[in-house]
Amino acid sequence: MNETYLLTASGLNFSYGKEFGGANAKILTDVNVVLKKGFLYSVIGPNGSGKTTLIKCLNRSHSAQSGEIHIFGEPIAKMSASQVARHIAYMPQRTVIDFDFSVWDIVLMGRHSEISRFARETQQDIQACREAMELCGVWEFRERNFNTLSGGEMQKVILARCIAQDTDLLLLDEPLTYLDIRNQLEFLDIITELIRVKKVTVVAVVHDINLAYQYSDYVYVLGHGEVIAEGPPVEVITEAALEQCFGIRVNMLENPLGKRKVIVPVEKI
Amino acid sequence: MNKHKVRVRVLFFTLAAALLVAMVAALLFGSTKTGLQDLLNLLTTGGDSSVATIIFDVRLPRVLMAAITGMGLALVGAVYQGFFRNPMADPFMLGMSSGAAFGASVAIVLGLESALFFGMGFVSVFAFVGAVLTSVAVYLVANSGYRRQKVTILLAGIAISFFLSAFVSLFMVFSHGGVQKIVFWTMGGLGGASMDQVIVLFPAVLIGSVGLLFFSRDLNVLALGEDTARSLGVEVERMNLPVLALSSLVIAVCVSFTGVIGFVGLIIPHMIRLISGPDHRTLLPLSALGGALFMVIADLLARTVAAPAEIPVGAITALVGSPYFIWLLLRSGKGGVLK
Repeated sequence: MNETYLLTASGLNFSYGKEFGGANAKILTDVNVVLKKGFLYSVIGPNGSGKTTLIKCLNRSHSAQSGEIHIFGEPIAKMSASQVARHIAYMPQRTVIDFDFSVWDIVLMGRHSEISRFARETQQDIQACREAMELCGVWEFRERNFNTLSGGEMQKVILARCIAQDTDLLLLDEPLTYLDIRNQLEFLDIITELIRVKKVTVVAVVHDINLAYQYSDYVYVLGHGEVIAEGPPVEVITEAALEQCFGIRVNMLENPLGKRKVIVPVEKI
Repeated sequence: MNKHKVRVRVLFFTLAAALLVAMVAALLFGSTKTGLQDLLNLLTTGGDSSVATIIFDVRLPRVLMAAITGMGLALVGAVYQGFFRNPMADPFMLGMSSGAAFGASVAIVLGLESALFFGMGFVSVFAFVGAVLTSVAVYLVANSGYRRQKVTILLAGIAISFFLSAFVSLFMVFSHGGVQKIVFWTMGGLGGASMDQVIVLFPAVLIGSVGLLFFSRDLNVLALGEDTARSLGVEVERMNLPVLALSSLVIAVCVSFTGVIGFVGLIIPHMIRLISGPDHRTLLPLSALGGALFMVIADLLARTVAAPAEIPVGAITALVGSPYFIWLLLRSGKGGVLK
């Protein structure tokens, strides 16, 4: 396998089998993903097209029935959970926390695989958490109970936890869904800054096609569990592609304020 | 952060000191009056032999049993609440209480109450076997189903628990002489405490508890959900067996000697969490101390309030604990303990 790529996934097939109580419904079919260092990748596609499943397969939350995933040429299947945790951070669609942990506790959990069982966190762990929290603008919340934060604040804290994990790759499953429009932009600015400074790679499932179009370097379009298009957003996100993928007619208007066009949905077909 | 550390430390030393005081008090109070002077005499000069018998042979094993079972129940309760991500979790939720009751009833029905097995009562031995087999059965059922989720473990526990309880009811109906004994056993109590039991109980609870402390940080991360915990480096699947096995060991020995003592394992972790916060690294040891303290006091009340009659200790734990817990629920802001 090629070691110049951060992550390669080839021929991923996944279906929810008996262990999930499903009737072998096929979710992913022969999905190939190649990720390079320092880019923002978006995954778009309609509900049920397999976006979340793809993210979960990439970090081994789900194990694909066939296909191989390598990180820097190493097969992920042979790694321990903490080895995977040193390479890949994961942000779920929504975080519900049962007990009243403080924001600081939550971010510090990002260092879980770095701290041995009975050891206390080192100065280095504390520094990594502080930097991550300052980057995300949540340092001031550190002593607050996580469950008292607003949805937008929660997502930024969880992002800080992922950044504190200090990985090469961040997998974000619909990070923008519960955010208001200002928080969406702030969130994307943090991601952009992170990629610029630390050269990490981010894969984000995004529902807002405009944001995917404006911000990402590369887009994977999923439909019925298959990659139906991939490439730079200006090449992939076209009126024809959106029509095929979502079954809607759109207009792509020139944007007087930016370089990239604005997508306006017109009607469903 | 430092304010929090101070609070945890204060709580730790307060509980430890209170436990010591409670244990000494429990040695001194009882249906026969003894004073601190008697205890000091015993420790220095040997003192009166009849007093020595009462304090060291009758009360000491009982006080130690109370402390150790309280510790085990509360610690496993705290572990289960984190492990199942369920505030209603208690140590008996895998059906081990019913398993133990089933085993004990079999021994009672077979007329084995007075028979001994290496110094242990046969009732306890049967109860232990019943409890262990139940937890194994629950684990196997939960692991062979389609959905390997923690909810399945809980549901399997409930199902098997009802199944075994049905047998216990049948035993009660068909064994006329045994009814009272079975009822008394299931209510739980420390009346049968002996040093032999302490010698078995203590190492088992100690090993189980120390083993469970090993998973403290994993339990913290588990609060974020299983997918996230896995992504942070927790071997989510691989921790199931050791956590359940260690917990089952602790609960099986406790329940087989004392019967079913409810409430401690459910409520003590919540009380401690209100003060110490949810971090299992501090929650588990503090719950152990709190459980021990609570049980020593509850057992002292059980045998003194209506002396010479004895009240089932499970009734005391619920009578004292429930109102206090409700008060805590009402008092704590932000929606209370059980969000």
